[in-house]
Amino acid sequence: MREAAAARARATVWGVSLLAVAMGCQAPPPVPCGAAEGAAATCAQACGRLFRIGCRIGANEAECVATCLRAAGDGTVEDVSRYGRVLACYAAAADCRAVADCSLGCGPMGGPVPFRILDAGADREPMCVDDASEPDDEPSAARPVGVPSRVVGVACPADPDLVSFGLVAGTSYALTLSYDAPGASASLRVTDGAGVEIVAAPEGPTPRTVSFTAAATTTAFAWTVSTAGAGNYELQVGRP
Amino acid sequence: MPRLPFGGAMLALGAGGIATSPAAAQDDPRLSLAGDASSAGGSETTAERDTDYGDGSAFDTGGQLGYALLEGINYVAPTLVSDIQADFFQVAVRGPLRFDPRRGKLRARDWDELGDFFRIGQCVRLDWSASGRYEREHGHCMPWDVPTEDYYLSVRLGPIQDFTLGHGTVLRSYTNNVDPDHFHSGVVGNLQFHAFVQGQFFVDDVTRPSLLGASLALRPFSYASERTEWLYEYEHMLEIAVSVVSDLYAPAEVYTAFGRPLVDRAGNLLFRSRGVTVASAHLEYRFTFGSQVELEVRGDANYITGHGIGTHAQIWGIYNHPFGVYSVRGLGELRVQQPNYVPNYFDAYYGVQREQFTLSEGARRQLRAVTGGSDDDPFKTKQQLLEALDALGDAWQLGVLAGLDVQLYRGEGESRRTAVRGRLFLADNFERVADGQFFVSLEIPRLNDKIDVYALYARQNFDGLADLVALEDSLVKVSVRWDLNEQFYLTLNYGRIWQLVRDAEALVREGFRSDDEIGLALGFAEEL
Repeated sequence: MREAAAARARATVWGVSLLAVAMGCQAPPPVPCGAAEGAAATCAQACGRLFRIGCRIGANEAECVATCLRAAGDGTVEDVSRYGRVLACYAAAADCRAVADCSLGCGPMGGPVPFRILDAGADREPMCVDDASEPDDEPSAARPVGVPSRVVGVACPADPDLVSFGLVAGTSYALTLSYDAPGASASLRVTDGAGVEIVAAPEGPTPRTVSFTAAATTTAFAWTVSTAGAGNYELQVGRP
Repeated sequence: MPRLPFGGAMLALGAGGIATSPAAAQDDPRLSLAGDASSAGGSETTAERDTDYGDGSAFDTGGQLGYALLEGINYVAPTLVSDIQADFFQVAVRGPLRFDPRRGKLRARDWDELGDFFRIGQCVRLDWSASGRYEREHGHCMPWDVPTEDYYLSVRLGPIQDFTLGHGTVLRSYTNNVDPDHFHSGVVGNLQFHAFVQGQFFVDDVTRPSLLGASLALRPFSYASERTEWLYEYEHMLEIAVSVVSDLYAPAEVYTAFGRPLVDRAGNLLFRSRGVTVASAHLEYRFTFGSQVELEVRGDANYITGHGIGTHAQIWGIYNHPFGVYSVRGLGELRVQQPNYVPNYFDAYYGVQREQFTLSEGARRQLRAVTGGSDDDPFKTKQQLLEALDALGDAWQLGVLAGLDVQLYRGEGESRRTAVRGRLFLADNFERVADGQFFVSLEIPRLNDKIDVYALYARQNFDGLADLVALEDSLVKVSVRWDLNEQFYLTLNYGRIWQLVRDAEALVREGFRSDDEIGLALGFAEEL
């Protein structure tokens, strides 16, 4: 019974999360990654393990490795810096459920691995798995944060993420937006409660930084928009 | 004067399928009474089939040699055939092989997991009753014809096809062998304790049971005195029933690695599971206007545990030809349901959609409508759809279903039996995108005492009538058996089936793919 309950809880983590997040529900607890930070393995090791424990991708290990290279590298070489940990987790998995847990918990910041999730290969745009703060696409749904604070999330192209924070007249503020996805391009702007732009950093490679001095005591909204590339981002809200 | 509760039952054909007709008859126990009512002015009639009283044992054996087409590959298809009967035990043994002459080997996926070996026992059955009529078992898995006054317990093991539980508002036209790569041998049972108790139960797969259910119906007024029996049986009847269906290991979410779905050695999708249960209470009242016209009112209240509630109000209008030539039954159903209730949750597509709801563009549109267009994942399970529906609030919604059930009879008196039966259902739920359901079946048992025909067409996740009929993304089954003489026969089987794509990259894009399966064989059987 305990196992069934645990299985239910685990299932909730991923199975429900995308839908729940979309509906504004509480984010489920993260799935722990079964490999340590810095651990690494090769696609061949990962696929060898998958086939030994009876969960397969493709008709044989070679096909699995090819899939791995496409998903976790450039098609020929694994990106160990990004995917080494999840490959190590796969290579040590005891069963197929553990493999699935690796996919859910060995990504950046303990979240899902940003494979090109269920895409059809290089000819399709990768599907973006957004974070638990969604929906936060408009001021009424913005995530309130203090000053200073550090906000992390997943950026999906053309899907703005908003945070709100309080301004005190005459106080200077600085915001820095960083993405971990190589080649990511983003914009960052700050508006007041009426939607009037206070400051903006136009589209460009991250990090993007803006700073300003508040003219009035009000609530401000920081808009982060990824214009190219999906990935994890970090937004620092503070003072210069 | 025995009345046969399943007398109107059809012959489901082919090497494959616990006959659905018992279910249909259970769904509609008055099928036999329609015949009875029509004979009120004359002799009582029964829908007799090819049966033998007290035939203690029989042994037929032979074989088939045929052609099969699957995935564009041509196979030679020899099949060993043996039908054995020994008192209350019967078994239809089949050894269906598909041999690829180009590669010089058998189709591996037909015999690569435990469940595949149950192909040998197409129908293994135990039947008990005091005066039941033995059916000569040819893999049809029909229940016996048992008088209403008798007791009857039947347990049948084999593939399940077009199975309906109770009134069908929870489980309708369920088929457990939609993917020919994975054979599932299920169990279907019928229980009858005189006219007072009727029951059904089923399990989807004896090797990996997951979906199971039962229905129990009580007819309190049927236990009347001899003096009032006629009144209650033929003028009005009340039935109270409950049923429960549970998918204990319903897929909650598909396992992935590298962003790709994982499969096991036999090519089954791997997934996290979490049970889905639907409980239902039924109330039914039937009134007969004279001998030809009947009116039935049914009410079902169903609850998908942890999700939504739905109610189904049905009115059946029944007309029986005065001389028992035909019977026409029309159905109108109004559904009042919460957004997170799915009528007929366990339907004809459930065997596949439990793992991949988004089989078709219509299903994908339905999912996107529920999630606000944010979901293109081709591997969303049906349970994930259900969970997404939870967020749509509590406002009650309406839905409708219309149905038609036509039976033609042949013969008279004791030899009267069903000649043709056609069923049709069309359903839609308002305020829901692409969730139309269409089902039609045709059954012709023993046409000219030589030919059996069974055909089924089911389509789901469509919006308009223009999309009602299409081969792509539909579920189709056609089986024909033609007895050329006492020893030789021809069989033809066509199925529009669903298979999980094997190629890793194509699997990501498509998941299950709709395809054709064709079989044609010449058979020989000799009674030993």
